[in-house]
Amino acid sequence: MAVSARAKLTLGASAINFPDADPDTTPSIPANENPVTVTAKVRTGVSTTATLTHRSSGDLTAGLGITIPISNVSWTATGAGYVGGTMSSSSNVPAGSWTGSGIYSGAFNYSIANSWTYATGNYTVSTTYTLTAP
Amino acid sequence: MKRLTFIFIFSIVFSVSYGIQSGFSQTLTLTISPSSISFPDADPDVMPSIAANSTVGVRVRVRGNAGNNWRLTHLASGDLSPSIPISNISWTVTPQPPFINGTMSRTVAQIAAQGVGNLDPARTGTFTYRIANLWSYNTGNFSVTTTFTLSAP
Repeated sequence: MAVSARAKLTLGASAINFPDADPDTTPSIPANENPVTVTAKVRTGVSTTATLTHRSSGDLTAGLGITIPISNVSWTATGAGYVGGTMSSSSNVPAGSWTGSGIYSGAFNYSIANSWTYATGNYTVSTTYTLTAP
Repeated sequence: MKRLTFIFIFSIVFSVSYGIQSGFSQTLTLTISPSSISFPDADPDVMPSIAANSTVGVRVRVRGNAGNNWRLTHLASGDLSPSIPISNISWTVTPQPPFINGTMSRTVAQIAAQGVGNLDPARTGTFTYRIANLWSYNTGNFSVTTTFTLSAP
């Protein structure tokens, strides 16, 4: 039997939302969907490390030139192998790693720093998780 | 006890078939084809159980054994090397009886068929092997040798 490398990532939510709030009373806004479950299924070599990374396509944008830095969004993680981080559009940010095959379950809790400097508007951005099993 | 063994290898092509005849006209004949099978790779979520690429025909004939028991057993030499438990492989077979469904073992010979007296003309069991497909399997090429044994007192 030949067993090939493969990987599959499942997130409990395909989109998250941050509600509006007073920056003085809520300096950090948690996402409505927290905690977002995550499951990484991996087949790889017995001593090989599989990695999960995250990258944003850009800043949160509400229109031409109206942005919130994506680095204002961060997450914490639960579950073996998962790690918290701060979002970036310029580099892949580690979100997890595991050695060997298996099913690895965890959860992410996202938050955004709340600031009086934000212009009004509806901000969106798309981001990508990449699970790699060499 | 008369005993006839047949080596059966998963994932490796190998072919052997032979019989033994005693001095008392007791004859056990065991023929297996093909002599090896393989399991394709598949997504465990889509295909949690993988059927082998081929069924296996096991032809058994027992003569000169009036009133005595006979038995066909199947024993693996170990796990699918290096790391898939052999107990993850099971088989279903027709016709029943004399053939019997089972799960492979590396420690205890599993009964694959049994009966009393003769089995003449020969009967052929069609064995369908399946392996549980788990995410925990590491990548690699896995193989094992197994042995069918046909015996009678």
